[in-house]
Amino acid sequence: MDKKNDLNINNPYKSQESFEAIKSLKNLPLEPSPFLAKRVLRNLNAKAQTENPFNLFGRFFGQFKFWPSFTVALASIFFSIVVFKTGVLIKTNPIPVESYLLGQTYVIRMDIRPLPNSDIAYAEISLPDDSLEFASQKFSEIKLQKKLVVGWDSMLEKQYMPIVVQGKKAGSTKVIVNFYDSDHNLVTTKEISLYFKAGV
Amino acid sequence: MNFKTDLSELIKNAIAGHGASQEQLILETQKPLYTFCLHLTKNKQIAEDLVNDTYLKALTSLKDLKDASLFLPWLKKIARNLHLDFVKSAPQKNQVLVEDYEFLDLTQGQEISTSQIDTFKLLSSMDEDDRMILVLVDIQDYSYSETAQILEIAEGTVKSRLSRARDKFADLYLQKKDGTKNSSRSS
Repeated sequence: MDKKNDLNINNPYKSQESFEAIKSLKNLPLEPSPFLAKRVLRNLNAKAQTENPFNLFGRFFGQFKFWPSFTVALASIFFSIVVFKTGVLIKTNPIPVESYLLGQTYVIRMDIRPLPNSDIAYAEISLPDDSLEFASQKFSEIKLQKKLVVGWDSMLEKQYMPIVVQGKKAGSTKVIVNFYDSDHNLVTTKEISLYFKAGV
Repeated sequence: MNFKTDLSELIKNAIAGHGASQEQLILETQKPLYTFCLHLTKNKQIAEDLVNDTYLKALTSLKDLKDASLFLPWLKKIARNLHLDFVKSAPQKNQVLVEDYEFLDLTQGQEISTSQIDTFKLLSSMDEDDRMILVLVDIQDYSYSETAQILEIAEGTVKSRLSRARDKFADLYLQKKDGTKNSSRSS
């Protein structure tokens, strides 16, 4: 142990008072913003997307060349959503009442259209709890994440945002997609409700 | 949670891209890193930006960390190097007066004594080399060898610089104390 903080051992302060004054700063209640960790993670995800557009999702979806192209009644003004089982369409309408099988991989396709007068920079896809996991055959580590960030430009290029998930708990759950502007302000939110049941 | 025990596991998971582990690593280390950055930059906003940039750099190069137990000193080393880059690239932006401190804001409304504020300001008025060696050794309790690694200087330099910094601080402290006494006598 090479700490030499004792006044009487080595390099003493010229006065005990100044020594104690410095030591009193140990207890100074300096706290960073309570949002600092979230800010770092958001920027980390955005950075990863910038450096590697579409990241795991993009590479994963390279293998899906032929998408059935239809939308369903869940469409909002800006988005439309198609849900189908990987490779095989299972249901078109209506999505909220459809139930899916636990452990199967499903693709949620969110069609994207440019929003007039908006400044969306990226989307953050969130899974609420352990009832859902992101899925990828090639990048299995993605299942550990509960949030993914996708750059808006990469979404616009493709005109859609694919979200690949597996249900892990029976019952209702949802995918939340928050869209942020370049100042990290929330622009809009989209929720996708899903219902999972045990396999036959 | 036993942070030291679980640190290796957290880092391993964070390298794999596990968001919860990355967040846990940040939550466990952000306070001492922020304090270090605040002493370094003397400005709350710049300190938070520096903490942000430090984690961004660290979490994307975690594989380079050889020893998990050195995570926090490694973060501080990164922070210091980023700060040096910042000062070199935009020296005018670093001209922050000690008077700019807003202590109530800094401490989020928690109780703080007048003498602590005075000491903090006194320390902030010192040169960066002297200030940071006192922060690391006397406030954050780093060993000489850890301090040497963070500041990227020889251990012998740490000892000599520490001795000089302690003397300077004591002189400033006594001057301040005498000045306060004299002003109260004259009034």
